[in-house]
Amino acid sequence: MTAKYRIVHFVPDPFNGTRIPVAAIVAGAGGLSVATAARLPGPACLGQAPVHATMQMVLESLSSVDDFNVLPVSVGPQALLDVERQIPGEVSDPVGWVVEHVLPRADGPAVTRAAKSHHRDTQGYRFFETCKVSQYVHQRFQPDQHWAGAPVAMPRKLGTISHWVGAAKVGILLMEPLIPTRPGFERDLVEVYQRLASYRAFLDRGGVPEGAKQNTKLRVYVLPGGNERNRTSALGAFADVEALTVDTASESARRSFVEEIRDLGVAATPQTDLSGSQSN
Amino acid sequence: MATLLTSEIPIVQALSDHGDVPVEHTGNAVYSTDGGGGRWIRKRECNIGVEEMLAEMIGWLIARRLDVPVPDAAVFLAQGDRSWLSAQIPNVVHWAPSQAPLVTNIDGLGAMMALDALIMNADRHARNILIQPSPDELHLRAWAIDHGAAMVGWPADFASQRTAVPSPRNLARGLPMDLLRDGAMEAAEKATSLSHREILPMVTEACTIAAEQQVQIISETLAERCAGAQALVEEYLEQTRGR
Repeated sequence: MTAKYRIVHFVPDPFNGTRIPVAAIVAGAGGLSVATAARLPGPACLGQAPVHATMQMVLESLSSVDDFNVLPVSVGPQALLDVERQIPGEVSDPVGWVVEHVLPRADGPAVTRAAKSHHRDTQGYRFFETCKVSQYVHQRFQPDQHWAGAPVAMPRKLGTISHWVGAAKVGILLMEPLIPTRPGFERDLVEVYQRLASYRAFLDRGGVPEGAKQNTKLRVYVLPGGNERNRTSALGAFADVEALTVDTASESARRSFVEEIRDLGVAATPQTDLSGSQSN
Repeated sequence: MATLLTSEIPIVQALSDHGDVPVEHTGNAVYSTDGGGGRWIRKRECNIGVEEMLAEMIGWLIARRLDVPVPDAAVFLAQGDRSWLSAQIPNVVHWAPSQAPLVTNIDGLGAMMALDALIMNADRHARNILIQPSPDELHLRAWAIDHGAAMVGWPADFASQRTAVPSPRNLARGLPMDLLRDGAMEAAEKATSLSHREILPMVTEACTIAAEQQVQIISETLAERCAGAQALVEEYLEQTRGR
């Protein structure tokens, strides 16, 4: 089979018609792939940060390409699919060939070479804001602060957990987000697994008193989107570390997760009575 | 922007087209600028029909009452070349389920659901929700666009569906209905407070522009639906659950 490609152009301003080739859909023996330009314009080049953000979102949307002739709906009106072109028959790596010979190449130091990605925990925290429970959710659970004086030595690898809610006496939920649409998702999955596994081992070794152990729960919340393979990996990876995986794309799972956070958050928040004094 | 305000819907005096909007199902929409540099998405009545013009106008007027995030709008009324104009929102993509946790105006999306229930708009697919990074990819503003298919533009059909809600069959996938509920019910409450007296001038304005005679039928049906908005919106949200 002769491989072929269609360039995807980003249109920063539909009124002036400028097109920037940012990617290509490549059809080869292995099916459809997306080749992303090694050189992409940065925010300064595009003039405004939101224009650059839009281009990043267009690129992210291309991960769901399933038709050589049609862009995914989510790319929106500022992306255009160019005409079909052939790749020479002797080329063994069609995607690499398109990146090298068709799309803008990274040949200078002053260009943005890779898609910028926000921190996983920053992206995850937006879920709590949108669900209106962020007032209960704390960032960065640091075990050496919260579990100071633990009965067993705390291993160094027990890193911070992205988000947590609750308090020692009402229970603590330790939460890590997974974002299937993120570049480097596989790396995130391994990192989160290792971190939660080390927490599970520490808790099981009696790192915290029995009551606190029972009260400390691990959660992985998987944000919507991404391909099915990534989602399935994320949703099935954490059973052996006793971390419940929450599929936030499911309304029922999302609702009960949000309720759990709200309940714990309210229980952990000092209440102000009508006289103005605080109690808990 | 070169506009002459009549009552609520601004009238644009001169337009210059700049090419097609490259999106399917947009009724041959084109990018257009007015004399003052205002940027519009233009739909000509000769392409979309007077019913869609009417639905766009009434949908937009009601949307503003319910705080639905809709772009500014206007009409161009040259003889034989009338157009509906929706302000171009810069830097947008279309709705995708992965964006749900990042939407900053989630109550506005809820209000959009209430609007659709009231004007019988069964056309809220992913292309009719614009997503704009504001200011970045983690903070997304949603916009509801294109109400041309709402049944309110077909007076007799609209009147025959007094207590019906639109089919959710084409509704964009992955809308977080549980998170939209508060905004939807808040908008329903606002709709409940809209009396026939307030609705009539809006419908009259839209019908005057569209040269539609059945002002009373539309305004009465709309008023009746607004009065029962809480139940209608509840019913619509319920139906979206069963999809």
